[in-house]
Amino acid sequence: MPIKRAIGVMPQEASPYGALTVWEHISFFTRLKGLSKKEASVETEKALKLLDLEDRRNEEVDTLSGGLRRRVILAQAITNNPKLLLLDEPTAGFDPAARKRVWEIIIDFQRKKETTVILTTPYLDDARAVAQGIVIFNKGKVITQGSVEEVMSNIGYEVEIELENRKEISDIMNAHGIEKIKIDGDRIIAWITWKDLQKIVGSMTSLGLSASNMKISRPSLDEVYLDILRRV
Amino acid sequence: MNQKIEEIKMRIRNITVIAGIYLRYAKRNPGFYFLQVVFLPMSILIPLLILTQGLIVDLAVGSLICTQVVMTIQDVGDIVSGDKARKSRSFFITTPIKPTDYMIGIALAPLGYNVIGGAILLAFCRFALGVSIEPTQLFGIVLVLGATWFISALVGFGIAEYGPRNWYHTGAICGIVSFFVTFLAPVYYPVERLPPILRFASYFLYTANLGSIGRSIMMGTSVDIVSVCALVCFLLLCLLIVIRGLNWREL
Repeated sequence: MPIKRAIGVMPQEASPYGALTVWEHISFFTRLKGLSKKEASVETEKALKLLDLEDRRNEEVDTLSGGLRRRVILAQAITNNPKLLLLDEPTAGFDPAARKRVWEIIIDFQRKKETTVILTTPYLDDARAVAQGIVIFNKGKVITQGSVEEVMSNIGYEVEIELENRKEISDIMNAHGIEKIKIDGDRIIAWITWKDLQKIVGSMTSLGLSASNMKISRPSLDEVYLDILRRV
Repeated sequence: MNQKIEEIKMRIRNITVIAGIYLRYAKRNPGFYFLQVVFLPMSILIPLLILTQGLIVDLAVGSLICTQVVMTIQDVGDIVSGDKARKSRSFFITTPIKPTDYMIGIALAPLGYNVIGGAILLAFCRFALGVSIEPTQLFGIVLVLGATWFISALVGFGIAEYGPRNWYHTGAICGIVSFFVTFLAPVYYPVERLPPILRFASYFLYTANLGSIGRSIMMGTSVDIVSVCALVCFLLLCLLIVIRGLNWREL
């Protein structure tokens, strides 16, 4: 069986054919995957339903908004239950609701249909929810790759903490060699590893300082990405 | 053997699906396409008939060839350059279809309406102008028109594939080429009217050869073998150029 029959592709820049209706567009390209007219029709109906395009089935693609046209291309990519989905910025131009829906569909394909999904996206935190592996490129070169956790630990910190700006706290930070610190008025913000966090909390407790008003958050993947780019 | 037959069936199906995609434009605007395939050749044929008051067979053959050339070069050029500009070809490249099927599918699309144009013009020549067309002549003329369509499709393909990136420029080049091979070449008039040097040069134009063959069929004279050979060479050259241009990996 040709490999291409098992692949669903959503190119980023390709424009759909404006004179075709939504139904025709999905159905024609589904037939080119090797399906009969009847099979393609069934697959088209499924894709229309999945991407909430049922009401638009008879509209010409030319009359649709940019986001809806992208949805048509995604719909034709997911027909025939592909084993591999290659999606180039699948949510570009989508409103938040559609974006959420698309991520749900991708997760569904990945987990229930065991489809391998390779996608590019500028929405890194959205990708975090679905990605088992991440590759970050800059100017065509791989900067870092691995699981989300690996990529995040590669940058040298895993958590962001925010504490009261006190001399004792600064001393503890210095004692543990924490360098990535920012003073913001009466607050100290530091980017540290989980191990460092344990040590800092231990030191604070031994000095009788309360860690109860410490704010702990995980840095977003966007921040990690920017941090990586700054280092390149 | 069965696998081979299945593959051929699949390829035919793919070609018709591709042709169907591009025929949708004509299906959505039938009046516009009808006018294009009928009005243009007629608007040239009628003034020429009045002006020349003769050469009816030459003009009829010229008009029939014109119906296949103009729309095919222009439409195939538009489709291919449009696909390139809009990057829509990636929809095909990522499916299991072969580049040649894509090419044939695109070429078939204009044939869908050219056939209508050709049939109307043929009926006009037969019934309005009184041109006698025997069944064998009809068969020969259909073959000539088929060859005209196919080579014109390759020419349109070649222009769009190797021509400028900007598709407006491609459209303009297709228009100029269509005009050149239809109206300047000896298609509406016999090649004998040209000075000897240009007569030789006309062998390099496929439409001139097709015109010569078409006239011979209609007049019942022997077909010029040099024209046939020149035509075959031109066809092979065009095929080679186009297939080289369309090259994507099959997985």
